[in-house]
Amino acid sequence: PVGTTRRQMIEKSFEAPEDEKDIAPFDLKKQWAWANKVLFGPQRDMKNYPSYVDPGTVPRPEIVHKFVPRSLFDAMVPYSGVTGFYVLSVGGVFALVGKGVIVSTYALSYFFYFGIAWAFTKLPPVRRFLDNRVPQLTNRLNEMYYVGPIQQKKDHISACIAAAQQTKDMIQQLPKLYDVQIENVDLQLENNYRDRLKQAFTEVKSRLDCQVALAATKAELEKDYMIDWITNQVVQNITPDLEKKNIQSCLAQLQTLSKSAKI
Amino acid sequence: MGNALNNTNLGGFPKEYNPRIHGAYQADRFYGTPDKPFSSLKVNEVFQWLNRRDMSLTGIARFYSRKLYSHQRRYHLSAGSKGVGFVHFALFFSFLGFIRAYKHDRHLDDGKYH
Repeated sequence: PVGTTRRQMIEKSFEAPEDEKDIAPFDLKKQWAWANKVLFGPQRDMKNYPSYVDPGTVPRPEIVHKFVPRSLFDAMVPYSGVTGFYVLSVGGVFALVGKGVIVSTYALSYFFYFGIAWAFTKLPPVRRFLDNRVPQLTNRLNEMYYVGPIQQKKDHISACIAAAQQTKDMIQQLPKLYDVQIENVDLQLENNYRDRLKQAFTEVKSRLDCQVALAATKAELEKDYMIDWITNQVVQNITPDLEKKNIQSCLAQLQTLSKSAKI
Repeated sequence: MGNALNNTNLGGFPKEYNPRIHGAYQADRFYGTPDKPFSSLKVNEVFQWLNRRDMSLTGIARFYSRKLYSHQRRYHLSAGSKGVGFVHFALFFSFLGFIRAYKHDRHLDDGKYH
């Protein structure tokens, strides 16, 4: 029709025919079934158009001297023998050089540089480095974007499992926690009781010490007062003639002692 | 006038392609009527063979694309290719560069020391 846009015509072409509208694709399973019905139906010509082959599973065609296909090589053998290709290539190059088509320019030396680089890559250390380069980079990318995230998630899951197990075990020990809390309170009460006991003991002891000190002080006072009173009374009653008689008796005793003393 | 391109087939599959007969589309295969291969022709059959071919712009473009895809499938996407596809491309474009630069120094061919 005249008014239809290009997009509408394309979408109309993608519509399924009437007898296949029931399995038309808007669902993956239906899409798969429709594709199977279309691509592998009764009209399919498997002999001339076989099914898709993954090109990564097919080996490379044979190659001679790094870029010449073997089919070309072998097609020239019936016409020019085994050395046909070499004669054509090398001789052709020399002919063109002789005719002046290929001329030695500044660009020709790049072929020799290419040969030197190729020989350089054949050296074993360089060869080993080059053969290892792509696997190294691919392994790096693989670790960064595939193995790393998976390992992170595994570790995270293990940590979550361990935390959950720990929580579970802690819940199993909660009755012990209650007993511990009760014991804690009991210990605090005991501490309190002992403090008060000590306080009572110290109070009582201080009062008793006060009593003892009072009694001792009183006794000491009485003793000192009595001693002083007695000595003062005695000293007051000393007369001079009594003193004189005391001194005389002492002298006489000394005399008698001096007689019997041994020096 | 904006609908002049509605009945064209720009960017679409060839008219002869039918998925119910040919299966999934492969860019390196020819889906027209089979014909003798070029290498098995005699010299007096060449022009008849060429007349049977589709020599329009789209036909030539399809031929070029088919050859590119087949070369890629054979020499680049295969197992153990090791850069042969790149070498073929480099040689082809080197040859084109040689053709383009052929006239660059031709004024030196008359010289005594060139």
